[in-house]
Amino acid sequence: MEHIRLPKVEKVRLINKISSRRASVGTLYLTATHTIFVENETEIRTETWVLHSLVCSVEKQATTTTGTPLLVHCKNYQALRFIIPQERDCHDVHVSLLRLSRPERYEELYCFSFHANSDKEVRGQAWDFLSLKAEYSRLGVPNHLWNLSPVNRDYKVCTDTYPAELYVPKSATHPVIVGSSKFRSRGRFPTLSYYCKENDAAICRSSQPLSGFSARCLEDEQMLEAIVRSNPRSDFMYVVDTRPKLNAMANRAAGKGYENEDNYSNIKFQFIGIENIHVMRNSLQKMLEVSEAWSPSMSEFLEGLESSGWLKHIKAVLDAGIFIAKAVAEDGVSVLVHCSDGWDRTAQVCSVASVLLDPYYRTLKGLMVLIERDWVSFGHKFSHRYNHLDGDPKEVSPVIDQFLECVWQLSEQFPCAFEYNERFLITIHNHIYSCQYGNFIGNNQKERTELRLQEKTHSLWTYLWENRTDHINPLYRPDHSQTRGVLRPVTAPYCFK
Amino acid sequence: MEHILTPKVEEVKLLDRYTAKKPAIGTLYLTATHLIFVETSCNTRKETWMLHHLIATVEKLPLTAMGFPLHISCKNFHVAHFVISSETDCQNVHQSLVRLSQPGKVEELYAFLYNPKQDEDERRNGWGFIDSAMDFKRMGLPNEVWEMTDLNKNYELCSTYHSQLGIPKTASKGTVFGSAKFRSRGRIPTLSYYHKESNAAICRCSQPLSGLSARCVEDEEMLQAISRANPKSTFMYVVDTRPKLNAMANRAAGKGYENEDNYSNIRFQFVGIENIHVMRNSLQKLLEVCAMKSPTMSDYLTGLENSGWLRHIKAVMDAGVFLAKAVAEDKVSVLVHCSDGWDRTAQVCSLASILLDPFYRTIKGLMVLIEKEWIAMGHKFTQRCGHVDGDPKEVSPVFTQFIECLWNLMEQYPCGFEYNEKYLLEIHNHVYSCQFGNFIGNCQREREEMRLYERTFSVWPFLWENRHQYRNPLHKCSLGREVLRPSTLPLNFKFWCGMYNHFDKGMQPKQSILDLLLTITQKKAESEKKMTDLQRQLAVMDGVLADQGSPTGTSPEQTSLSPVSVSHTAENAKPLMNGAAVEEAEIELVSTAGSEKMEPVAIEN
Repeated sequence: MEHIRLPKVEKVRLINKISSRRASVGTLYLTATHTIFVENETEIRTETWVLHSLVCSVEKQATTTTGTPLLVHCKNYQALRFIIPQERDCHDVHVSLLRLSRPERYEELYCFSFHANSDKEVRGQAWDFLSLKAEYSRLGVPNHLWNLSPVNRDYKVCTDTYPAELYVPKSATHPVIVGSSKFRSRGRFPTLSYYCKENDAAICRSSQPLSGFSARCLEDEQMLEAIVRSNPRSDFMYVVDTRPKLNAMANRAAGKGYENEDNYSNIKFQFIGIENIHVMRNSLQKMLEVSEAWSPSMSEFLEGLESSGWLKHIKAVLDAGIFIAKAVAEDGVSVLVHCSDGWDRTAQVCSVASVLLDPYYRTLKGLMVLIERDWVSFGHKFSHRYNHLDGDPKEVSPVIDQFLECVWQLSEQFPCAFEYNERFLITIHNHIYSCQYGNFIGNNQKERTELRLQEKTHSLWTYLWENRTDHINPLYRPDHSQTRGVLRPVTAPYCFK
Repeated sequence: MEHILTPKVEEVKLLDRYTAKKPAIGTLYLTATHLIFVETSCNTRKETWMLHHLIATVEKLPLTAMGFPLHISCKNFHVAHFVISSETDCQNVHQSLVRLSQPGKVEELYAFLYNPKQDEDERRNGWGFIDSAMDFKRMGLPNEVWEMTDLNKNYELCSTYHSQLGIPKTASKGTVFGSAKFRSRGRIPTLSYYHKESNAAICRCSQPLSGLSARCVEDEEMLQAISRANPKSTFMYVVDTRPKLNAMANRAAGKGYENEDNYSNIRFQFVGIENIHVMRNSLQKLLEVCAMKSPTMSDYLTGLENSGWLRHIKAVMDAGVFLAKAVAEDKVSVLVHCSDGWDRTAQVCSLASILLDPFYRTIKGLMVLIEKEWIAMGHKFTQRCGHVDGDPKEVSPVFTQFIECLWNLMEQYPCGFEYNEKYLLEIHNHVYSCQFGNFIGNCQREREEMRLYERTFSVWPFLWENRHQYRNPLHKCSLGREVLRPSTLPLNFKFWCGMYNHFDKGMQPKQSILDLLLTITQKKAESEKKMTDLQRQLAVMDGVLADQGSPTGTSPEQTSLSPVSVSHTAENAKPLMNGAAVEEAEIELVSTAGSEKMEPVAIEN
């Protein structure tokens, strides 16, 4: 590889983050894909492997008497501190790592060079392991109320950020869909996310309407009316804007905004107040600073945790999910969820609600399907949010991290309700960033098809399924009274960890 | 009872502490020992019992639309909010409870009324169940450097210590009595824990009466003797668990701390745990945080931080870790004191013992530890827990903090302890409930004067009988041998919902891992028992068949009858089948079940 200036450095010291007492001495290797540190002091050969694509920052610090420290932070929150004896070596490693950790083109990503031991046919089958069609039919659609719309087949008519297959109310005609799509940010019109067979209530998702201060769109109003009517047992629906009210109001000045209750018949409008990706990014940054503090006092820790606001945001996402789950399960009312573009907060909230509502999403396969549906297929911008390619740092934000944390918090409250364990969540999280598998490359389905990922890369889900014994929660009791139905978690602050 | 003005009030509402759910309606009864609320609004009869002695405060709140509110908070953090419709009733209940919850004399405590239907022998045996002196034997005392002395048998040396004390062999009687004169309340340096593997010891005492410059040769000799009892180390640590400022202030009052120049070979160290008043206020603030109806995340975290509670828990833990490290790793003896040596010293010494010795991580071991470090060494339970009406400034959650430290350790080492969270909560409950005599009185001498051993029962046999409930299903003995080295980074300390919100059912996790595991273990034990029973039957019946050869085709009735016959045939083997030996016998049966089915019977014959 042309970017590796120095493939091997000896007598490097690796310093442990927590117990600073002992540093291990060893050799540092740079390969095309990994940084490898081999400890050669002890009898047992310990190796530390760090994937280049997981590296989030590399920092060279001032040279000390013992050498030049190099601080490597990873996207999976691993932090390594190497001390390299020669300043020049450190510089070379630094420069190489900087380049290696920031690929500029998709083709440079690890998944295109990663070859699991399987032939082409097996690879193809592996990609068929999860089928969204099967998932929707498990939910009970298409049926007499909802059908599959071919409108976005070529990613042209409406939006290139939606999947090709979308489910809409049967009464919504083609012109209504197209019209509604034109009135929604980036054409992301209201479409089905989750359908509750038992009472016909549905969770739909979209982006914000282009309502500005007074604009209206008949087709969009008809679209929402069609969603209300597709739930025969209820005469109204909730429209949930997951943004803080102030943010939504500000958007009106830009010709966007939120639904006016007077224009749409039979809707109840509600703000939920989850902050935007920039607030979340900064909040995470602050929390990481707290967790990296050398030896914080209890006060510093608690104050830091509080001022980072991280748990407050997690609580907000969970609260929103609970609101929707309650509307669907208890009140039997359909809900339309949106934020600005409907690919971050909307994805979080819809998927949290699904986990609460349906025990299936608390199984291994169920969570895979859920991520595939609400995140991958609906155009959550994985490559931007998780900085797969060197790009705009303002687009980076820990959106899915928060979703996974919500699931973890739920699994702490309901230790018998989940088939998977903490390790499963961490492994998924790791691979969202690692780019070892093709599942999370690109920003939407269209991009993925163009990249021909299914031919060139492997799927994470089959790998996880084959290793499912590692990811099973031994306490899972599908027949437990609290496990079967809808989860009703407590979100008092005491319950967050 | 003369204090009960109204024994029964109807149509009382019990409000839920957090949720806006409809209040429960029921009848409130006042008995001699408990307040009982029986819910009548629902079909299932739900009862809430509160022991009078557990009640910390009873407060009459201003009149609301619903009626006259009565707010009761208990020492075990149970909070109940009743609303009574009539003012006279409320007034009467309030007045009765205030009187009942604060007995003026020790004799009024529940322990003196409580009778669990045991005879005198059982009571006496019960009190002998845990013997702290036996623990010193377990540690290897007496040995060539340490001995047990009865210099304090009439409590003349120190009135608040136990009669049996461990001291270095080289310390003469003169040294001991001289040192006692130079220590606050005569609490001389005495052995708390002896670490066999390293010969290092943890000793405890009160502060020296050193003032600004006083010295005492005997006290210096005493410390020298302790230091020399550990031949492998050239020095010892003296740990003052107080913040330095507090210790300095004590010097002005003729007390203070050891001067490194006067004592040879000591290394002096402050640890900085706050005093009982700071702790009392901190808990108060923590409880205020718990009482918030629907706090935001910010309110909660800020409140938690402001209370300082977790900071204090961490300080106690840090001190315990320091001690354990000194003894196990550096092999250096440690002398610990605070002011009087009965609060912080007890916390720190007992925590270090748990870190060092796996015995204290067992159900029985914790009993021994509490008996030894807290009860025998004169932790003032009556005053600290406010058992009888007294100085509110003496009340402080010292023991609660120790239990909470232990809980935090259990969270870090889920397989390291034989007992579970319920055990801690149960002990904590009994410390405050006064149902048993163990935690009544401020020191051994007081307990003897009250004749507690004749008039009350001991809690330990009672807990031991129910030990199956307190077992930690994840306990692994193999992990046990080692010294625990917990991390005391702030993120390892959690708010203990199970303690402070134990009675707020809505706040508890709806699925408890512990309960689930306990059920599984119980089921497993039952089916294993059934399996071995059946295997035994099979073996015996095969034997019977071979011996007599008569009952061939066994009908279902005969099969169901067979357990009876088994118990007859197995009679000869009874000693083998009894008690602890059963398990081994069963294994034997299982292993011989294959080829040599005859063998068990042959042994019997």
